[in-house]
Amino acid sequence: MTPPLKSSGSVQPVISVDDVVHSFKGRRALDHVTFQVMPQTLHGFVGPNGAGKTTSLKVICTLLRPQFGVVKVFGHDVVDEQKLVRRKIGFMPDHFSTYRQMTVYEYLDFFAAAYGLSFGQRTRVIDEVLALTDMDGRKNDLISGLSRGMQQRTSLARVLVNDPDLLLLDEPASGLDPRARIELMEILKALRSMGKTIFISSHILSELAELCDAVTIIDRGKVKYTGTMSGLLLTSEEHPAFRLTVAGDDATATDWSEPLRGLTGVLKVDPVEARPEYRIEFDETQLDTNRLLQAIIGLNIPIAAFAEDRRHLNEAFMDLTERGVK
Amino acid sequence: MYYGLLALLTRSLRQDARQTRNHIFRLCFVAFIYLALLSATVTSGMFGAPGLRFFQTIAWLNMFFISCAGVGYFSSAITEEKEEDTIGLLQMAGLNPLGILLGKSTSRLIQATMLLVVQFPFSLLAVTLGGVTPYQIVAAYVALLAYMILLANVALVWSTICQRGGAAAGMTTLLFVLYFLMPNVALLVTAELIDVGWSPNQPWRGTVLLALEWIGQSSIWNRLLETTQTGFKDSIISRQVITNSVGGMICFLLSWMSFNTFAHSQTSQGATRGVVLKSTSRVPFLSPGRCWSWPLVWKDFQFLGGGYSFGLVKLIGYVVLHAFIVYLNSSDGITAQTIRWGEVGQIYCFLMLWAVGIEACILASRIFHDEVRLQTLSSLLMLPHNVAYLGYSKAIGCLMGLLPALLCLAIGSVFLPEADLDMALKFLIEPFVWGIVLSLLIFLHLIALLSLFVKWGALPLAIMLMGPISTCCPVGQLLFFVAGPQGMRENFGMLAATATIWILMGLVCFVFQMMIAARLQELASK
Repeated sequence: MTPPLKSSGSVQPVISVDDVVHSFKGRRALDHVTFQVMPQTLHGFVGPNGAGKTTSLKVICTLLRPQFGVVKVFGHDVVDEQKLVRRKIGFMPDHFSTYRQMTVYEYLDFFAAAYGLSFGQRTRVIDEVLALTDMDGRKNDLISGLSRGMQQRTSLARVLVNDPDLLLLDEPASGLDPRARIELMEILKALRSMGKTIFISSHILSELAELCDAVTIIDRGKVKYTGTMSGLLLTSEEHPAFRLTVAGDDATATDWSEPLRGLTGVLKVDPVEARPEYRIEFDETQLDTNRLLQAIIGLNIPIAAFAEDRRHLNEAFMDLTERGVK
Repeated sequence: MYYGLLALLTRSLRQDARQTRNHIFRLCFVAFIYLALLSATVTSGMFGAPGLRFFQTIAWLNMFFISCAGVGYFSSAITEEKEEDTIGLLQMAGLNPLGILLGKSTSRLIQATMLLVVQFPFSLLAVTLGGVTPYQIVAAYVALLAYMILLANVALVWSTICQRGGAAAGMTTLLFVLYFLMPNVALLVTAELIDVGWSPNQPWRGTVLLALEWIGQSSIWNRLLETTQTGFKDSIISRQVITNSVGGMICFLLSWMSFNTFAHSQTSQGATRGVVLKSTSRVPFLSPGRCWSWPLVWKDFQFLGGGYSFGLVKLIGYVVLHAFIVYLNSSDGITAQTIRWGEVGQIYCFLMLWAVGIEACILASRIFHDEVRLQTLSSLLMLPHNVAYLGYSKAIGCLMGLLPALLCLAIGSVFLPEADLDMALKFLIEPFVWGIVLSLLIFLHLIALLSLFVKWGALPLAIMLMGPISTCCPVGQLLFFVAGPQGMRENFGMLAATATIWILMGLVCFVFQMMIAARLQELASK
């Protein structure tokens, strides 16, 4: 397991889950889970079905009391300071938690009032969240008449009415069509740019890889990885690696391995089988990316592409999680 | 060929046979009969014909239970599939509408019939206690069976037509009320028509009178009154049995014929919320408007209690009821002198007390259950308030929904004779009355608690549980007797007993509320 992402310097983590254990009827749903979520990041929470994602989220959002361990949100204990925590977070469960007989506006107005906002504040905040979620045209529609994507946006708007600093989203994109999913992700990007911290549990790895700054992978109640997304996707943990794609018709004909190995600081060159590609690992104390690229150009290699060698999140996920159903 | 048709029915019956809880439920029903039997035996020294009294208890209990089942159990037969969007899947699996109706509704009818069948041998014990004949018992059970067939199929029609279980239950209740009112109205109309010169021998007028006579004799209420009388000798296959059974079959045919028309209409099309108006409606002042500073009170008043618009509808309904009672209690034309205001007040207050009780029970069964059904508990419990605040706010909202009925009750009490009013005021320090209030509060709490455990039927289940609870712990009655003896009742004894009831009331309610809070938290964390 990778060591947990530690807070850098004086920056306090938004969520701090420390050695949490929780069991249901003798089955351990969370097994000494430890991870942190840093401020203003979009932190993905990934794992197979039954891995303990929803349980973790429910513990963080104060709905479930951890049986062992400490969970803090903005430095407040989720057990002892429930109200303080609840005021600072917005939780969107994995189902539509909506009053279907209400209109969108009534629904948001109800939750805004429940958070203690005054009449004037409510009017302003609701207009803002409706605009952000692009629901202002449907504000007088009954929720029961909305499509799945619209209902999900309404749920998200509800989460935002108390202007929480932390958003906890459990499978927000599940069951949405591609358009609704992309639109939802755009809203999340906008929210991150507004300085919100977003902790998102999802199965849609491609979108998470694109969106998230950090990720925690959990499997069978245990944290398998927690840290930056780039850290997870890098193929080598010791040295940086880049992938060089060679251009030209005779690309496969010329073997550039030897000249590449001869470059100062290059530790390893692996030709990719049946492709005009080379995976180059180098010593960052002797070489940086710019200098490596300049050196390659100096060898007169026709370059088609030069990029950091990263795994896809799918691959990382498959490597870290165990095969088979529980 | 018949496999597809009966597949769902067979599966449902197999499931019923395998599930232990169903057998336990029936066993509980039998146990309740035994309790009633015990009560009849113990009190046989004080009252005559214990067998007849035992039999009457069972017969009326069954009628009540069937009525509750009609509203909850039968009316959700098809709507539950619609709510889950599985009707299409059932049809794709090769089940035709008849197969679905047989599987979803008739199986429930058979299961409910099993309840009648299982208790029949025990009911025959009434014969040994004396005062009732086996013929009477058979007649009563046949009447109940016919009533159940009618109610199950009326509920099935609404279940087929309506998109949501709540709407189907509401419409079934409405028809059920009409079913009880219609025979009496028919008898009243018949008498009026005969008064104005109509005769059974006239060609078409005779047919109308005959039809009214049949309607008049179609009520299970009247039929049970007849069958539970000493010396009953009428035919077992009565007009009630015929009309109810034929009515049931017609309703089944209606459901079959209308199945395809209503089964596939989308819930999203023209989404409505019944009588609760939107702010964009023509009468915006009757819409819920903006949320109040007490949001949960607002929510539950507007969307559970019915809000302003439904409140107005109820108020009009209760006023019409009052006018109807005034009409019935006026001798020669409606003038202030001819109306028997005292009787009007008594009847109206009695009916309004029932209305308040029924409304309170319905609200208690929905107050938390709706949050579970809509999966909104987690969002609600995430609010920065404790569970007690949430629960009490919701309760206040529901109480506000009772305001129209309470207002009419207060108005009705103005018409009460002075003696009745004095008696009612004296009742305020009667331990017996507070014992009843305690029972009612326990009952409402029990409904709310049970609604967090069962998908439907919290109300009939609470009624069934209240029977043994009242039999085993008749707190009110006990304290009445303790505080009753002569001088004690006038002074200290009565006050002490009332105070004890209050303390007990607080304690019991507190325990129930703790249980409800714990269950809410458990459900929210699931």
